[in-house]
Amino acid sequence: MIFGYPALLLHLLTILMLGVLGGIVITAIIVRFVMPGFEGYSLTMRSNLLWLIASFPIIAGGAAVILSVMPELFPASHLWLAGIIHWHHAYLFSPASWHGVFLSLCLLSIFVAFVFGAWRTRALSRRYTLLAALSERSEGGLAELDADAPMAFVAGLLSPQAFITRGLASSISEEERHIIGLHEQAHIVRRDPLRKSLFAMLVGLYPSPVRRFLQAELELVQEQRADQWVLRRYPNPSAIAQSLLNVEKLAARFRQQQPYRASCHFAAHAVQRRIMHLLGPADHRSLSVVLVGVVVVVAALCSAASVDLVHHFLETLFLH
Amino acid sequence: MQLGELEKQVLQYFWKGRTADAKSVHSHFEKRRGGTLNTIQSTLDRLYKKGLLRREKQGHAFHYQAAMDRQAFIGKLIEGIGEDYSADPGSTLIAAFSTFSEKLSDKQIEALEKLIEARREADAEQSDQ
Repeated sequence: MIFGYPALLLHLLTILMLGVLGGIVITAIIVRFVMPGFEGYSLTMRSNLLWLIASFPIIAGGAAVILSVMPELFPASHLWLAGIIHWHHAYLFSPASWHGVFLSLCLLSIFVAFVFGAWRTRALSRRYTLLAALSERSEGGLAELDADAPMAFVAGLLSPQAFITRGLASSISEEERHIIGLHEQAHIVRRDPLRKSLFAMLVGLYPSPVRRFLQAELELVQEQRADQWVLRRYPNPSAIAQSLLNVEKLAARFRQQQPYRASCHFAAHAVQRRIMHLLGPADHRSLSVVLVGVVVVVAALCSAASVDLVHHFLETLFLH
Repeated sequence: MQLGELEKQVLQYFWKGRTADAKSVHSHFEKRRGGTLNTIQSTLDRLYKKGLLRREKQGHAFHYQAAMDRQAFIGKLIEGIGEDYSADPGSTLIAAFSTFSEKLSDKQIEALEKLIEARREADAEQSDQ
């Protein structure tokens, strides 16, 4: 049995984890029913919402901890806060109780996920470093790779580099190469691979279908932002859209010849959505900041309430 | 696949179409970067185990040569990136101009071509006025 402040600290960690779990469940429900309707909103709005959703479980966990530790920060907290979250045995923590088992499992899962993520990131970074070492410098900031697959991409975490394969470079016009070069430059300037990696870490806690949906949405927003970046420097939307379609057609033709095992169902629509976005009206809807704020506060309070709810539910089944 | 600095240099050596045993490789690299015969032998062995070199025993020594040329190797790396992407697109560290996904249907391509053409015509009309 652990007593005193160490016990309080372990309880706070348990509250944090439970709050994070509550946040995940609530956000997953919001994402399932609300997110598909966000297509018409501006890129900035969609990007901000995605980052908010990705970080919400941590916000919810943090809110549950703050509500537990510092109730005096909130006006008239004695009237409403006790119904949401309250202490039971703050200075007593049993490692053999469900609290202890739950906390150990959470910390172990986080550790395993962190080690696996770091290992995977290192392996991917090494592969891109190897590609960079095997590439040849060419004009337009694109390093050329001696490969048939028609591809252009930016890779690398801290020092991203733009690549184009010879298979693509030899099949496109000067104008298309210029557009592709600008597009990849946008990803480098915005450090999109790094953002993508941070986002992947944040959404790693979500169930797989939600995580994949959010990651695909972020990827689309990044591509659309890069398209807009090109549009500001080369104001010819139909040429950009045509380049995108031509590259997609080249890639599809290549995939037909190769036994390529790609099957990203969301991304099958991504090119279509990017072209529609490029050619569509420039003004997109925005969402009220007050409304978003209210939803965040209510969702955070629900997550905090879920901590106490889970506590009571589990303690009908298990002893402390 | 991961390759160390010496492994990369040894591969470049074999991509020039050479066939050589560990001693010849060592004498080539000794002048350029130093290192022992043992280091070269274990590097050659690692590259063989990774499937990047082929070897054949001639007398007491193994004679090595590249199992695939440079272009095939880069193609394999790129294929690996495509596979990573299709397995988990959000977790790769790349941002691609086009997708690695299944192709758009002919109907979708046709509709997009029409949309682009309509926009091009509208822009041309606007600039004429």
